[in-house]
Amino acid sequence: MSNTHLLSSTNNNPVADVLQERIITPHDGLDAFSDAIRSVVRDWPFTRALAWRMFLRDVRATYRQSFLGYLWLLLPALANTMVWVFLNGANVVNIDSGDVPYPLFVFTGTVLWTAFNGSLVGAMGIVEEARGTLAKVNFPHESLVLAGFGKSLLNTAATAIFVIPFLLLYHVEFRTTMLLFPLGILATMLCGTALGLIVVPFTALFSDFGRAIHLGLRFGFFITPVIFPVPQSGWAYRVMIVNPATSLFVTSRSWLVGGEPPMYVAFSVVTISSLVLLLVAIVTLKVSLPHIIYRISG
Amino acid sequence: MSDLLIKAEHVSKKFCRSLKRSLWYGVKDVAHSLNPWSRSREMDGDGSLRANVDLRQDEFWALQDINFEVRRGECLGLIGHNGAGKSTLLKILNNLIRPDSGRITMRGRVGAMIELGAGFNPVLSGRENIYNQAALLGFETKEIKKKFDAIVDFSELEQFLDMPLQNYSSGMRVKLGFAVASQMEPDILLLDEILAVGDVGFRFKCLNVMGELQRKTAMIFVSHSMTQVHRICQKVILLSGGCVTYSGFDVAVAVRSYMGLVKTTQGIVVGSGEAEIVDLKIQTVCGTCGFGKTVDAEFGGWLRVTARIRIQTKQYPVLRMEFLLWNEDMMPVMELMAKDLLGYAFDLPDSDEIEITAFVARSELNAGRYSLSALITDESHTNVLCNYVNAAYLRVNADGPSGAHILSVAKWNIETKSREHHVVESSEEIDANS
Repeated sequence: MSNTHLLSSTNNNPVADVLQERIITPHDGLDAFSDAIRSVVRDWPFTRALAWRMFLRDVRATYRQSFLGYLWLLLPALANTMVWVFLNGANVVNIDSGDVPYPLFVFTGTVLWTAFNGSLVGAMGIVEEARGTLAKVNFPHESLVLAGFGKSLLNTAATAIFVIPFLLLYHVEFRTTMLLFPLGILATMLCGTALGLIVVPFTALFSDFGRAIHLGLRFGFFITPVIFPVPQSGWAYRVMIVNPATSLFVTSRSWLVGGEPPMYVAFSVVTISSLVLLLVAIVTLKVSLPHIIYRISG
Repeated sequence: MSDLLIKAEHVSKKFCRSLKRSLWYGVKDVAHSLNPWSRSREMDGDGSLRANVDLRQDEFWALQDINFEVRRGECLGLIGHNGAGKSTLLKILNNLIRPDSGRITMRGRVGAMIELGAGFNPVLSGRENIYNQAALLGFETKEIKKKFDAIVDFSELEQFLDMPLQNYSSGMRVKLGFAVASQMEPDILLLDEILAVGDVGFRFKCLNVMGELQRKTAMIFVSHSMTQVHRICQKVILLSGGCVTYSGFDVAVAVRSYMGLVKTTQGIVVGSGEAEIVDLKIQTVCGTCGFGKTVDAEFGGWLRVTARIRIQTKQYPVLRMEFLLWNEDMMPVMELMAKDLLGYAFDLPDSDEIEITAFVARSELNAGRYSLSALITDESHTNVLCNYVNAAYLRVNADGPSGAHILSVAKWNIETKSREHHVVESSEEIDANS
């Protein structure tokens, strides 16, 4: 439960104001969950404003100390793309991207991977980043999730904007499904955020969990159709089909540049599950944070 | 009777000594709290849930069975040694961590001044940090805009506003943090040792702000400065090892108990060494004590300090001696001097050892524990031949709730005045020699 900011702020006539009552007990279980949900709803306006402030603060601080500034948002994606284009062009690897020109294929995949990986890692790191503030100030913690999402969105958008010159370069004809691409990005980010957030209660305590996940992500890069399309058969095919991100990547890319057919059913299932998982993760975070704060800072 | 805003009942909290085990317990606690059907809780008589009443391995009680109430307009002082559990209690009140058992009821808006710089980003300017900090503390954007000038004024940092925060000194950061926090209008205010840094002028300003806020809020004030506690708090809780050892309205008694927990420190001798204090004793109505020991004394009773000294130099024809009494806050409270308000002057002795005695007929020191230091200097007080700090201790017993260092019994007079008289006839006498 957190402060209400919808209270009348005049203290001139305290007896007349109805004071909000907060009861603090070691409550767990259903009590804790219902409290958490209620406070998320009640504090939403404040959470949104605070998240915006945090977002501005973190972005400004990151780029204030650099010369190239916001350009650094774009360069990693470009660099990554160039590596794979080179490797393919030099026949070090041999990837058949079908009708889609390979550089375009890779760049789109990279944009989506930035969205997915960025939001997942960002969500995982919110407790560590805010470690100091968490132990000292009482504020609605879901604002950290929202601010983190905003930062990932900025990173992704800065990269995604360059899809346009790529499309022009390869003379790709406009089609209406291209307008659905941002939706695909959002769905990918939703999935990444949900997965990253659900593990936070445990990664915050023992670094092993976090490290294992980072390690897993490196491997995950290769079981997601980022730089190559889904194979037709074999064990790689079976693994990739199980990977929830696959349907998001394939569908989004097909909306933008065609190529493989979209996987609408899987896309919808994954998106809706991600939404549910995200809500569960937020409530879980709120319930477990007091325990985490106590252990990491006393 | 003003409204009850804070009520704590049977609050307890465990702490684990070993880090790894603590983190593992954290995982278990998290898992337990996430189980919506966790029914392993017992209920207390008053209906509050009791959880984890047994201590697991390496655990101890950081807080045990804490009870108190605070009403609007009251300030509760929370004192105790480092590690007594004060900050933990404050964190629970601020809803940052959960108690292991007990129940706390808080009514109204809660504001906390716990670490004023939390949330400050060092790369951003003072101006940007004001906005961030205010947002974190719960202000809406238009509120911040309205209060911005007042905040800057209070902080006295107008010319540094656009400088990045990493270039601010720690005192400046506290000023900025406090300026933002002081604009809160809470019903409950939690304060945790925030005035340790900051110049005297600013601390004064802060105490004034807190005095203003006090009328409209219920305050809990954690501090190590007994002067501040005396000044602001009407009631006090003394925490020792997680338990409440005193809870009540007699601030002076609590402060004395807190000080009483301090062990005596060893005597230290500094100075050129050209003089040596061979023996020292303090005599009072109650008894005598020697080097490093403590003697009891009564308020208003007499005091005699005797020092046997040996001068090992022929350099100075005239020497001076003085005795100082220091209180537990390490402030010099009383000095035994000669009529000229300088140390007692004596000629260089021919013999090896001499004995110097200082006698005070009526000591007006208030209750407390004082340490005595003996100082031998040359006539102009420039060279220190010997300074024996913590030579002996004096424990004064006095009844009375005052927190002042010196109590003076004055002569009082009262006169009734009729309303037609506008000229005040003053006829109070204060007898200085009484």
